[in-house]
Amino acid sequence: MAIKCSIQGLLIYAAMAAYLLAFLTRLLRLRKAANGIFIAAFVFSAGSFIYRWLNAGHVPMQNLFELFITMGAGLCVLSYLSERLLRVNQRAIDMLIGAIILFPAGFVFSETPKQLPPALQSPFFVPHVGAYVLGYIFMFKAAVAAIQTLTAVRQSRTIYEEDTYRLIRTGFPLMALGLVLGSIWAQFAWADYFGWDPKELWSLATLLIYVGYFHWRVMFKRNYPRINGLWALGGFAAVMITLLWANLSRLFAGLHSYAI
Amino acid sequence: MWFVLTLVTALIVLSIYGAFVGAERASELFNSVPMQIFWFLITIAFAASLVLFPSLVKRPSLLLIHLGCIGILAGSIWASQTGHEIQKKLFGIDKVHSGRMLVYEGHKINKVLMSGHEGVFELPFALGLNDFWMELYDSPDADGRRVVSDYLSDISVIEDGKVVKRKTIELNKPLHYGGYYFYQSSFDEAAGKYTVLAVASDSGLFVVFAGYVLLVAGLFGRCWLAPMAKAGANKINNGN
Repeated sequence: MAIKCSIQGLLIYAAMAAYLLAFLTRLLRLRKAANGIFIAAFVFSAGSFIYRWLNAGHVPMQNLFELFITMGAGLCVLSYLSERLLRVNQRAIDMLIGAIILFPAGFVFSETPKQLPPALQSPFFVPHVGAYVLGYIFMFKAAVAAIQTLTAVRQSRTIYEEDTYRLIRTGFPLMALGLVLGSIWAQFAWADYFGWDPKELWSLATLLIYVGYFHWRVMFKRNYPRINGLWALGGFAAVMITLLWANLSRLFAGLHSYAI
Repeated sequence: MWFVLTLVTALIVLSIYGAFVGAERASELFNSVPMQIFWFLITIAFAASLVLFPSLVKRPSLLLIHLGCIGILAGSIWASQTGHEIQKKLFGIDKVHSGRMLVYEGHKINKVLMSGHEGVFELPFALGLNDFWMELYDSPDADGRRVVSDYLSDISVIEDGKVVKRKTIELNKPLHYGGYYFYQSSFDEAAGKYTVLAVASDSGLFVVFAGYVLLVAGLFGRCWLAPMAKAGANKINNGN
């Protein structure tokens, strides 16, 4: 836990502060002001992303510090796109999530840039990680909608259930694409398209939980919206384990455990 | 459908278990005989689903997704160690599944040290090492060290006494020749006199990758394009 006084750190803190301030302003029902501050959060988080890119000399996706910066910047964009294209409005909660996503980058992980090791110098690097980053953000948002489904009164449950479905439907192909790209990359770098490495298996399990969700939803439609929500939360738990635990814990040492 | 959910759940549990035991034991587990039977049955179940659920065939995107999965599974079985043994017995295709090659500078060799068990497999062609070298980043890392940016082996493929192909193998850039991929894997750290290449057969890979393409195309079609088309149609209807 350390406070960063660099330009990089200040950009992250500015983005976090803007996200939080936007959230609080929104709680006070000052919608217009909140939206303005949300745009500021986008500017600061995008700024920290671009600054990192220039500073490190590669797209910031090498380790967890860079991933959280990228997700912090991507969240605003996907929040907006979800509203426009999926008709899922979670802007207020996204403001809060933005601050939470940037917290590990701001306070936990080291910002020292590292040069890309030989294995990561590949045209697959950015698409593989990029597809996952986007997919994961949709799954975060889906988990929020799933919690809303679980806690809402009966009448509005189906609305949140539909939100959950739309978000998972959008994120799932991205996650599958990420896995497939990683697999093809592994064939070219490690001589095998699937190495049974802990992170690979966790991401396969994650994907399969959402596969279970889709088949369950085909079977029971919206008859049990809260069970649908539980599937979504189960998938989200697996996302978190794949993203964090599989990298940080020595329990799962493997090919992907460089990323701290 | 309950059967499908049971299979999916079983696979989820197995994957998570595999993640806890580490890559090596997980690989053994998922390639063990009971699992081989399990993979085969899943492939059959996928094929059966296409017959049992007509909607899977009627909707092109759903068909692509499930065909993709069949391709991935069938290709993986074909590409596996057992798949290679079956090919040898049934079709007389004698290929080594995977292994390593030690190539000395200025020498040629066609012997592959087979992985999994002791034994040497002779390729119908030989590889010669012209040169091995490392490249470093120009600028030092944050802690002042110069980090290796690449390992490279300049390799010639020799068949019937003639050089038929020459390529510099580096990380992420294997050599593809004669049904095999050759990868930069390791090197002589003491004197830099030899390089170690990983060898992997390409049997079944094409089917797996074709399965990937079908799966991903089907998923984007089903999850992105279909809802977009529906929204577009609604808009037009509302406009009228």
